[in-house]
Amino acid sequence: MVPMQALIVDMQYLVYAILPFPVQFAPLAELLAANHGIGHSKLETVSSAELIAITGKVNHQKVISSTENALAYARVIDELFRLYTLLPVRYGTVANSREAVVSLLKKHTHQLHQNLDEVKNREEFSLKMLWKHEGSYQYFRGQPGAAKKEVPIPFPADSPQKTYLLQKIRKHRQENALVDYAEQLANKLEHWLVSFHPTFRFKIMVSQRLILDATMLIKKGYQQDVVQAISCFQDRYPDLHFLLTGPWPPYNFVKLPNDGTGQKSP
Amino acid sequence: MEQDKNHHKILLNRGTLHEFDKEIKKIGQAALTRINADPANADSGLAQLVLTLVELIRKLIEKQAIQRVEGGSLTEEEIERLGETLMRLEMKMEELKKTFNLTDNDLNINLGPLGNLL
Amino acid sequence: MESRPNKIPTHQDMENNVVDRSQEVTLHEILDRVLNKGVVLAGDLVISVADIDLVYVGVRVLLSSVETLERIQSDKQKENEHMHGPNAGINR
Repeated sequence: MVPMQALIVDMQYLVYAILPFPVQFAPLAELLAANHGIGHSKLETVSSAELIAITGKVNHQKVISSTENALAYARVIDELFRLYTLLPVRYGTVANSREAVVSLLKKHTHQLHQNLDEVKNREEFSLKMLWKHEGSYQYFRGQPGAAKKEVPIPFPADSPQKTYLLQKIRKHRQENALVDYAEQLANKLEHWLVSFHPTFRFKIMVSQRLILDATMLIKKGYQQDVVQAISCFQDRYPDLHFLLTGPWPPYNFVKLPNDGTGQKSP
Repeated sequence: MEQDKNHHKILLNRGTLHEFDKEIKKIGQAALTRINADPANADSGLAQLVLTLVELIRKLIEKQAIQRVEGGSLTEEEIERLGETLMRLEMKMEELKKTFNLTDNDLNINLGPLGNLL
Repeated sequence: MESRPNKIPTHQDMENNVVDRSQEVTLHEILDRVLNKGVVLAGDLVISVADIDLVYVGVRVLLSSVETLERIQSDKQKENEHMHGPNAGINR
């Protein structure tokens, strides 16, 4: 007697990335054969009329967010990205059947196509900027572009409540000054890289030390030039430490989810 | 297991990777910490989540209050009362942290200014 | 000093604890992208097992609640004033 569980072979489709249709199928088939997905699963394509999803057949309970799985997942997308324009899919999208994948593709065809056009032939770089020193404020005042004028305190410290408030006011003014500085820095970066025509995403003041986290989408093939340009930009800011990574597939430049996260921060 | 191809993703690093690594982990941004979260800590995890949200509210209130004070339209009495309220809120938060044995780092409080949220 | 080639760590590396800083930083970049970025597809026949960032979801709910909280607070202050007179302030 075969136990019931053995009869229910629930294999689902983990979606890795979305490619435009048509593509050169032979190299794609070769690539998918040469690589495997998470848990050594086989990779295959599922297509609608206009799009191709790269999927791997998995038992969905195996799709846990482990480092090993996430790395295997990222590797697949990275390999695909070397040859194809694609949109990476967030880890964990598992569909019940091929038909489910097709209907997903059909449901969002227009947006996905537009998105694919936007990222066509472009790659992503990430630039993080860190204050050199731990205690940022005392070094901040001397920085190029930092506001020099002192705003007077609004009332005297003649009670514990007022003293407390003045403390808070000072803290908030410093923070606002730092935010302004970081925004200026973002603007300067935009101008500096204008010849690359990048699309930018900025995160201002991720922490008091990590004052700027910039992601840029730039035409493929300019990696050396980008590194050179950033290196020169770094020279102007001896009190900041830059970390540039890439090139990455366009994870940060997808339009779905559609909740305004596609907008550039001020 | 197959050997990894050498994908050199770090293109430029002026400074040390150590400080970047430290900062990313400190501000609780490391995806690694989520992955390694111990399911046995479910209870303290809930307190942590709740207090993180409470602290976020407190910081938002504080920021809006200070903006109003700086706006110059409050009377001296209103300013005093605002100061008193904010002091108490902060004291209450400290109590809660002590009760649940949580530090600022636990609450991912080191998030920097809330400029983006307002 | 990080003089080793900047290699993405393998599972074995992680187990053996031989991951160096450059690998950790690279790992963070990868995990952040794979787990937090990328296209999100939802549909009737999809089982999504991706983590939902609870704090992020909470923040959105919070932002509309802050106004309510402020209103409640200022209402309470007005109430106090009414009951105890302008010099009572908040109890000491």
